[in-house]
Amino acid sequence: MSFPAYHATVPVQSSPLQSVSRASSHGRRPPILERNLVKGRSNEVSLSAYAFLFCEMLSYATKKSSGIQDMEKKLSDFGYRVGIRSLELLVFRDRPNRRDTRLLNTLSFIHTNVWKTLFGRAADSLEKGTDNEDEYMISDNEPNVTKFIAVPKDMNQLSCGAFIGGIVEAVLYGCGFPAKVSAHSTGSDQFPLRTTILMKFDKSVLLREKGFEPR
Amino acid sequence: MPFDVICIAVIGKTNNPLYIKNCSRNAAYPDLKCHYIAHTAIDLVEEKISTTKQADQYLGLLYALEELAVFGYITNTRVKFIIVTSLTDAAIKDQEMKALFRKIHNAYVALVSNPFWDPDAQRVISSPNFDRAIAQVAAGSSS
Repeated sequence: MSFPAYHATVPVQSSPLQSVSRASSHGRRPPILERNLVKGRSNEVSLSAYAFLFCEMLSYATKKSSGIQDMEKKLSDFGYRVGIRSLELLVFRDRPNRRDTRLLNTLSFIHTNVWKTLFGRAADSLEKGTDNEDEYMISDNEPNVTKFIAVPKDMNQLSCGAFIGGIVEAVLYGCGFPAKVSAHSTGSDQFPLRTTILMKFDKSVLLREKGFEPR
Repeated sequence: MPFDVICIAVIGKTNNPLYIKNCSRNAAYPDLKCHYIAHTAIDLVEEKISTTKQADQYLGLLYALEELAVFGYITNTRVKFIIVTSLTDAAIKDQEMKALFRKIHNAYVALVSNPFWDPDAQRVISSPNFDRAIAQVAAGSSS
């Protein structure tokens, strides 16, 4: 029987600051930023534990907010906090020595890398809006954060994908492409849980992109 | 060739100072000079990222003062790291500087992953772990 390289006693990763201070004591897990990039099974968080946490987040948001817009804003704020931190970590691990200065590169970075790291698979589609120059959409057929959430009939406009929207907004803002992000559920018969994240970029982003194009 | 790290500075997204540490031995340089050098380095960094097309994180030697050399590094989130070293006779290799910057970036990512530290708060970094990591970087290079 083979033993794992270090014990995975707790499925959830311990806070990185704690691990850094324990770096000198050997035998414990190495600090989070020095671990192997290829994640073994022992590093994954169970979906049920996460779904439980997300349920609690939703009930907290419902209690504290006064309406659907407010609730979506709260979920988006939660996502923002996650996004800012995971952006720094991702960029450090997956993109050494390179910065994404072009819009399309950043969007494909979000579409594949961010989604893969956070949800285990790439997002389903990345589209450019036909009506406006500055709109782009990322869709996910079955986002695992909202897989187990059932929205009551009277809150029909609520999309718990606002959490994912917050993550995307934080990543875009961190990379220097400020945008207004909103999440919409565009369920179809085949994929009733399909969520679309709509990103509307600031004018400054478009101007900068135009400047990059060869004259 | 060993060189002395005089000062390490971390400058935030909106060019606000997050962390400026004077690591010179015997306090040969006053703190104010470190602040001044970091401030002038910001202009140089902005110039470098707007002129060169290539999207590299390591910006290389920004400028040189009378006996000091200033190196810059920018992350994807527009956070800038500045290292000021004393000029020695032998040229300082890029690889060494890149290794130093990577260690600082490492410490910064560990700091950001802390859910209680808000990157948008515009306050100075006061985390002891971060202090310790930076002190290690400064000590490790001048051995």
